[in-house]
Amino acid sequence: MKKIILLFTILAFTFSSLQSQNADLGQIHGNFQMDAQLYNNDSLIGANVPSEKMGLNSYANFNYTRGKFNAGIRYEGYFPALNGFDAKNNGVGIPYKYASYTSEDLTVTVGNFYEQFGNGLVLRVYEDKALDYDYALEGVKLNYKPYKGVYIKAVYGKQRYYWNTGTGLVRGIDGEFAINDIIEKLADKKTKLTLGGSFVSKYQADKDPIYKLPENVGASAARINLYRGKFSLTGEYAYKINDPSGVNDKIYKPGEALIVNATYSQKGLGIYASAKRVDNMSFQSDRNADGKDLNINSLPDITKTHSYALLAMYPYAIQPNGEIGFQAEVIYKIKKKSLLGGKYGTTIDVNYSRVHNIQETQINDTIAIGESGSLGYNSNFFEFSKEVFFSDLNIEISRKFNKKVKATVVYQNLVFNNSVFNNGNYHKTIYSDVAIADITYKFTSRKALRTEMQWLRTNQDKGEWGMLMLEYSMPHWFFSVWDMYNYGNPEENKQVHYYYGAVGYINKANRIQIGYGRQREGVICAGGVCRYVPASNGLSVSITSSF
Amino acid sequence: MIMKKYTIIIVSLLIGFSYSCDKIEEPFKEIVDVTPVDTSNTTTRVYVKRVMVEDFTGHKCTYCPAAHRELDDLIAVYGSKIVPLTIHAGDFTGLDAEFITDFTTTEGTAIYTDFQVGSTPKGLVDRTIYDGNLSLFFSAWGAAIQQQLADTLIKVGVFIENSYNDANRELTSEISVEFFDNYSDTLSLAVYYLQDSIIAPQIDGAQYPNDHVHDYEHKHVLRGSLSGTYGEEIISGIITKNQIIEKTYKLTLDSEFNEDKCTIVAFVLDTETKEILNVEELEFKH
Repeated sequence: MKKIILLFTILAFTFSSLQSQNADLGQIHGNFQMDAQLYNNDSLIGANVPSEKMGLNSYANFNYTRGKFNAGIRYEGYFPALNGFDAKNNGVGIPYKYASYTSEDLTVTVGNFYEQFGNGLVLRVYEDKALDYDYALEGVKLNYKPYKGVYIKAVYGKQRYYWNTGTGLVRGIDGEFAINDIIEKLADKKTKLTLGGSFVSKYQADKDPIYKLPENVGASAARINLYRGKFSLTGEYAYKINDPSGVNDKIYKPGEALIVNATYSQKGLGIYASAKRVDNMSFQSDRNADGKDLNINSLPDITKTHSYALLAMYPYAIQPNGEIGFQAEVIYKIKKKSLLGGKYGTTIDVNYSRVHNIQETQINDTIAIGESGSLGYNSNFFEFSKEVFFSDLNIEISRKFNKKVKATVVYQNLVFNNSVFNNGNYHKTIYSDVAIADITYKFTSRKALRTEMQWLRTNQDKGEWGMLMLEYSMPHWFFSVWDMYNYGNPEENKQVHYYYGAVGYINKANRIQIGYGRQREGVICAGGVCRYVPASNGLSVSITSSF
Repeated sequence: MIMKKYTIIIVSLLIGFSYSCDKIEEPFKEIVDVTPVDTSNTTTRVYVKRVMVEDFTGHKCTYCPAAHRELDDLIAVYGSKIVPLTIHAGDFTGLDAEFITDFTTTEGTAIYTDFQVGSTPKGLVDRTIYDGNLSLFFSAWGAAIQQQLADTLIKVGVFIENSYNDANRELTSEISVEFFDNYSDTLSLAVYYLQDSIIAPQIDGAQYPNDHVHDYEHKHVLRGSLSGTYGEEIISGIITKNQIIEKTYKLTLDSEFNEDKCTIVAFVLDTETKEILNVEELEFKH
């Protein structure tokens, strides 16, 4: 295998050098990312220094394209992995390599690949390096377009598990049918309809001495996408047969998931609403894997992902064993040159999301809810449990006052069930309010000073926080300093200043950032998928580059 | 024509996949027949191949009680062939006004770090690899135990004799290690002590989502070692059949620990890989 990789790399670079002499030899593109941190001991915030004193994560992609042929590799190196990343990452190699070609209406991919069926309820294999996830499949993928408006995908392979593949096998097929393309007389209709269906099956041998485990577990889904003018309505329902696993504590209840999204948009107004129900829908190619490993599917998030530090203090993590909730968002732009809108207009964004546990009742008097080796529980499809997992009301108002000054203010009211999200600091439910002011002053068209003032109030967990950040940007450079101060921590000796300073240099496709200071313990999430980040103190260097 | 071929392939795949479902009917549990281990090649003492299960846990780990229940289920099937250790380590072991008992140990933290356990609940079964992993999610423990018990030929046996002095709370533990084959290896002996039935709070999100359990029974809790985390080397090189190595360890028990609930766990491990060859457990006051 190593020889193949070496040969592939030599070929790729040979093509690259020849490319400068002859344009017909195709193209090579790629990118590089490196994140390194030198750690200091800081007992006040619980920051530890690994034996190696520092950590380094690095990645580089090289992709070659010539006509209908594509091939690529990804290098990865962890020396060792940064704190908070799984130590199983430690090592160096080329874990991702693929080749693909298209012939007529069929595209064949072999090697490693990512894929998503519909909304991902039964299959979404993807990677997110920041979250320490890589669910790539290794095997064969076919994309086929037999008729106009008909798209078929089939995948067959094993999933990546750090430097190996997982024990289970994944097989899947998906069909999507663009009705307006298939039926010619509907081609010009204003209403556009697309239907889709997926089936995914996994195989894993049963070696359990106590439980009778299904070796082949199938999941299927049906979806609809409907568009008409300013309206859209999309939905998907998925069903999975019995799949006892570590994550669901070995219950044999079938799994279900439903997601519905509706949008309306016109100039100056956008309305978005979504609803979701998930019941026992964790789907992994190894039933004994940790919850974050070897996931075949992904259950979409219906809460807003925040970027401001204190808004993101208590982020939502998807609960695959059961959750029911909704989200609604209205974005309205008050007209320019109006009394309320001001000279440049004002944008108001109101977002509300709420997620509960699903309602669960005992199957009978003798079996506890969720008891291993049983059907688990009964649950009415549309009923909300009284247990609130998460609720987030946030209002954001942005306004440009003049050519030099623009500002954004945000208010958030949050309810966060910490006993569910289990982020290491147990308090049953956290109620918080956050207020933020973000003001940018432009000295010239390319030089600006941005100031963030943030405040978080809560009586639970670590109490109140305040944060001040200053960021100056100019051509090629930016400088930022901040202090996040946990002045309300009920333990006085933990009322800590988390100060941090960073300098960044950007030149076309290259970006270098150097930072120094304290970073708080917390959880980072994207799309409801989260990673625990331990507290740290030290010097960090980040480089990204592409060609 | 080509189109038809492709369509046939796709339809065949679809039909093939659609049969790929195994619906299991009740009862979901097997009736497990645990046959006695062949002890015919032992001398005067009865030696049994036992499996050590190290359950990494935390009193603030909401999913950990599910692993405790799994371990209870496995003990109900395998009985004393399983020697369970509950090791409090990782992110969910912190103390506060409600969670006042520090269950962590230097030894437990070292094992958690050295074996890259990374999160709880996870476990080690004889510190050996199952399905490519050392650190196992609790749903894999049963299969891993089965794997370890599949080989009924005992290469090494461990025997414990304890004497506990109530007056000065001193325990003397005499450990004998006996080999049942001629082979070459480097082995160590490690001796830990556990405390059972400690009543203290525990979060249990699956069974008690609305409140934490105030009077949870913490079982098989690792409290420390008499030999250091990975013990001391007892043999290196040629091992002779029926060779016996004897070691004596002493411990003065902390006054906070209930001696009636304490046990000694002694095990022989491969010095290099740390894999456990055999293990034995005995109460302080036997």
